[in-house]
Amino acid sequence: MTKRPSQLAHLPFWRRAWILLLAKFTPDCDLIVRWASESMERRLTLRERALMKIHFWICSFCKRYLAQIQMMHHASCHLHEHEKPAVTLGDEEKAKLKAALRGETR
Amino acid sequence: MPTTGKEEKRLQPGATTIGLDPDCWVDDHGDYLLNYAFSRLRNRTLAQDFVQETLLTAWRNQSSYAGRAGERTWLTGILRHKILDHFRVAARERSFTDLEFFADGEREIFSNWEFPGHWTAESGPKEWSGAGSSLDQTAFWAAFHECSSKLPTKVAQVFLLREVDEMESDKICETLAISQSNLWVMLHRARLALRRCLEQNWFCRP
Repeated sequence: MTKRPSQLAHLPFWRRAWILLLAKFTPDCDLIVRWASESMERRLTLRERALMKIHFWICSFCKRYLAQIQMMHHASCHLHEHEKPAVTLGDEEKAKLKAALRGETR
Repeated sequence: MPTTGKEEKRLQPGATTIGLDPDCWVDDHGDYLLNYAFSRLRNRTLAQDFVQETLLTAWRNQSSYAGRAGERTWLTGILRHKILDHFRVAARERSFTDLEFFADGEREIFSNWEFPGHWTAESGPKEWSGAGSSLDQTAFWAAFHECSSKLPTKVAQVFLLREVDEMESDKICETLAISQSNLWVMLHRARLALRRCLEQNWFCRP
């Protein structure tokens, strides 16, 4: 079986060393994206914020992820304005509701 | 009874009547309320019962309608309280078990062969072109609804309460009787799944 070339093989030596060094000192992407999500629920600690920022220097995926979930967060509050009715009341159901209300108002 | 109905109508797109007329409520807000309840309860019969309950409660308590908010906002508020009460009771009766949702998906996303725990070339977020202008497009919202409806019921409840209703984390935990860390995990996985679904079905669709 042939060995797969490293994903960083196309980068110059110094860039590669820089990425590997920072990757060693910052958490893995799976923890960074968890913090990215939690940053919308709580104030991250100074350490978490600093590590996240440093991680973003070497990982455009995580940086993009944070921007995209923030965009989803802002879009979500408008979800109802754009609701396409998925369920509607039939005439009979409306009549039944009105009858129930009329019974109450009598 | 509100006397500023005309002004309300101008200020609030949902407000439609000058006086309180239950027949108009059914015609004007019935479908809206039904959809609101259905997206949270995912059961049409139950949703319809909630709409009826809401309208009856509203009629009995019409004196509490100060006319400050639009009629639709007022009715939605009553419905929302009823649904939250329902969640509260339901949370006491059964445990919240959707924590396993997307656990495998999460593992798979970060299964880089060379650097475990990091994105793979395929799973890494792609550039979203035209993200801003998407918000004005009906098809984008259809995709958003489609993706959020794929979340398991309980995860969707949490996501809708937090992101759409903008409820505080503490209140959600209290209502659904879950711990804060469970809530965060569920929200995190919901965002991971939703982001991926939106990317595949909208931003980077083939």
